Formats: sequence, structure tokens, C-alpha cells
Amino acid sequence: MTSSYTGNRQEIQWKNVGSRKLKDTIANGLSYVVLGMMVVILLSIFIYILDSGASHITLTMLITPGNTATGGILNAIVGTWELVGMGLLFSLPPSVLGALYVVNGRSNGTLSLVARLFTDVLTSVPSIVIGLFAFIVLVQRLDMGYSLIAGGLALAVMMLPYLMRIIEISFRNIPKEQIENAYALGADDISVASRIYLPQAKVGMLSGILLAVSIAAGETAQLLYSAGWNNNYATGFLHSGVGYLTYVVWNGINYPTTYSHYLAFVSAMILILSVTGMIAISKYIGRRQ
Amino acid sequence: MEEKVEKIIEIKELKVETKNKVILDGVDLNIFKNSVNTIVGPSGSGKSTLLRSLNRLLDMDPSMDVSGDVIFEKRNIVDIDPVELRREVGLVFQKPNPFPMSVYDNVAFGLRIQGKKLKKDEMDKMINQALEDADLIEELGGNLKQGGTSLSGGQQQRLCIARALVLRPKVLMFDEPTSALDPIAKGKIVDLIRALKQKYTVILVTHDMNLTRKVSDYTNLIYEGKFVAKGTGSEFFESEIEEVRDFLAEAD
Repeated sequence: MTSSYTGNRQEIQWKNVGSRKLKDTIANGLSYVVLGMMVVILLSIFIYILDSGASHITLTMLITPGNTATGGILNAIVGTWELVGMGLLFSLPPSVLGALYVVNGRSNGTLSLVARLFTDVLTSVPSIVIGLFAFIVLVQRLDMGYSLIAGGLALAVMMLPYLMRIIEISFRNIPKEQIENAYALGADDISVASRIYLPQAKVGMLSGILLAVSIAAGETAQLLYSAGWNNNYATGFLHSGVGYLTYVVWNGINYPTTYSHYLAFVSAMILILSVTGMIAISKYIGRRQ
Repeated sequence: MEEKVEKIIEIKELKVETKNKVILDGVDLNIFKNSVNTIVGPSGSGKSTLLRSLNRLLDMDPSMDVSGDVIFEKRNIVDIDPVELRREVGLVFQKPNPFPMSVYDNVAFGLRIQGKKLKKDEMDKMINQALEDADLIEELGGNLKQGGTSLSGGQQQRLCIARALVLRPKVLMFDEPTSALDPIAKGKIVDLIRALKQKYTVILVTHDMNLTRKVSDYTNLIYEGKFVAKGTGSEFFESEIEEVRDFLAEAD
């Protein structure tokens, strides 16, 4: 290209090019090694489960209920989604409201801090402890019995901190000036929440929901104590145990028949595929935005 | 001159402080109707805080302690519902920040949140008028469905002005409206502010002395939370007050 530029153009002197390039190569190499390790671990689990599951899956398994040793796993598939749905129902509204509260920062900060602290602690409470608590308080004291409601609440306790954190982050991604400007145009809190926060955080909220759902779908410990188990479908919201896939994995492997092992692997495969599917969907939606 | 022009806002002994800092130290100021009232001053002198106290946006920040009186059309603003006050006293921000929705929806935002059911053609009319007043309608070529964020910086800023104008405010406040814009976009805002004062009262916060020279009817210099000079546009530039001379020397 010809240029009319006639200024004093100096050659830029780069320093230590050699050693910087070397450092770059080493860092890059390490990243690839770590990435490779993760891919190998993930792929081997994936292939093992898919191979063991897919080779033994039958239509009867998918369309009949069963007791983890005989019959199918339809009751567990249906029950898993019922429980997760119930958990979402209990955890989503408080997560959204909590995130709005923390983000809006209208309080003097102490309450937001306490809310944040509690959700953080909640993330690290072992699920068996949540299950035990649910058993004593919900199943026994409040006389819910092993049930959808008790199981849903136990899952909700675990989903809430994840949901709230991710929703909070997607709220924080909205430029502060935009929120301020909405108020300056005469919007009240409800309009700002419904017209600015919620529509703009849609994608973030959806990926939060999908993540929380995939975590909840893979939970076992707190459900053992709250949802119990059911060889058939739950007949109501209270006093009726619910089947779920992780129970089939856990119990099926312990049971000394080949068929029960097949049931366990098929359940594990369905879980892995649905979780992967959900994460893929959330990424796809995120990218399309 | 001051006697002839009607005051629309009287600020009396307005003090804004946080726990460890006084931002506005008991300031008094009159804002005159259908004029461009400019507040100049160095960064951190309290200009933006002053604007945000006039439409009670500061109420939302619990760390700010506000005292003193602001009288807007004979009423103390603490007796006015903040939502109503903010429609009457509009604010345009430094950085253009259209909502991620169409041009039409951006301008309609302030109308829709009022909950009043407006007829479609009535709404269309108001939105077109606001975009015309903000000198944007021609450039859009009638396409109000395009995204507000896809416009150029200067157009975005005028969209934000239209968004405030559609509410028919009595006062329009600008918080450094040109500092994020290129010279051509800046020029358009200058023309616009001049035109707007026919219908509205303008309060302009800026440290752009060029802009001040071009549009200001009343110029007030704020320094460390206090007004050190008040006067008409021409008086200001001739002022012998030391702070004014210093500020002008720094700014140019």
C-alpha cells in the first residue's frame, strides 16, 4: 500500500522475544495437557456408561414401571422429572426475588450480605444432611410422609443457591446506567424488574435453571430421606413415595442380578444424556442471543 | 435579567453527604424557565449528584444523606411522588444507554410503565413527535423497528433524549451529554439543546466550555460542593472571580 505518511516512522524494538515466546509455548502446552486430561476422563465415563446402557436398553424398560430388580424404570423417569419440577417450583421464585434484592442494593447492605453468606453456606451443606433434616422436619414432624412435596422441598434447598447466584450474575450483567435510566423515566421497582431485569436476564436465568435442574436430577442422598421410593407412580403430593433414576442406579447395582445391573446402567445413561442435552441447549440458546 | 425570568426550581441549602464525605455543602441555586441553566465544574465537584437530587434519584442510594429543600413549581419535591417527579424532571445520562429493544419500544417505555392504556395511533403520534423533537426522525427514515442499540453513538444519545421528551417533562437535565460523542454528533446535540429551550427548561451539567459558550444562558461554577460563581452566560466568561479564571484556564 502506498501512503502519503511521511512522519518519522521508527522500527519498534521488541524486548526478550525469545524468552517470551518460550513462556507462551509452555503455558499453552500445559493448558492443552490439562484439557486433554479432562476430555479423557469425561469421555471414558461417557463411553463406559453409554456402552453399558445402550447395549441393554429395551423398549419394555422405558414404558413400564418397576422395582429396580424387575420391570422397567418408567416410574423412576417420571418421578425424577416430577421431583425436579417440584424443586424448581419451590426454588425459582425465591431465587429471583432474592437476586433482585441483592442486586438492587436498596438495603444498607447488611441484609444482602447475610443473604449472600447463607446461600454460599447452603451450597456446601452435604446433601445427606439436607436429606436428614428433610426427613425429621418434613417427613416426620410435618407429617408429609415420603412424598413429592418433601422431595421437592429437599431438592429446592439445594437448587436455590445455584439458581440465585446465576440469576444474580445475569442481573449484574445489565448495565447499571440502564437500570438508573429506567428509574429516571419514572419506572417503579416492579416495572424495572419486569421490563428491564427479567427480559434481559432471560438467557442467564434459563441457563441457571438448566444447571440447577441437571444438578438436582443427579441427586440421591436427600431424596432417599424425603421422597423415599415407589415401585409405581406417586399417587398424590403427600404420603406417596416417588421413584427416581439415581435410586435405580444405586439400588440396581447392589442387587445381585444381571438384569438389575442393566436397569442401573440404562438409568445412568438416561441421566447423563439428559444432563448433557440440557447443558447443550443452554449453550445453544446463550450463543444465539 | 434575573427578575424578568420565572424561576422553576429553587434549591435552598441543599446538602448531600455520605458517612465520610460531604458532596454538596448547602448549595443555593435558582433554575430559570425556558433557559439553559449550566452547571460547570471539575470532576468530583458534585455536579452529577446535584442533578440526581433534583429528581430524587439519590433516594435510591441508602448511603446518601440528603437535607435542605428543593422547590419545584412552588412544591417541595419531597411532597411529590418520585415517579411523578421523574416524569416532570427528565434526565439524560452521560453515556447513551438505549434499552436493548426497538427504537419504538425505547421511546414507548416511559409511556407504557404509566399503566395508562393509550390508543395505538395516539401512542404512535407521541412517539413520532418525540423523535422529531429530538431531531432523529429523518435519520431513521421511518424505520422505528430497528434496534436502539444498533444506532450510532450520537443517534443513541438523541434516542435517549426522545425517550425523556415523550413524557412531556417541564425540565430536562443533561449530565455531560456530549462527552462520549464525536465532534459531529456533538454539534447536533448543541443545536438540539438550543431548540429544546423554547419548550423546556434545560439544566446542563458539563465541563465542556465550548458547549457552555454555545448554549448557556446561566452559568454556575461548582467547586468542591459549593457554588463559587453564578451568573448569565456572558457574565461568567468575563468574571474576575479567581476560581472562574482558574477553571477557564484549566478547561481551555
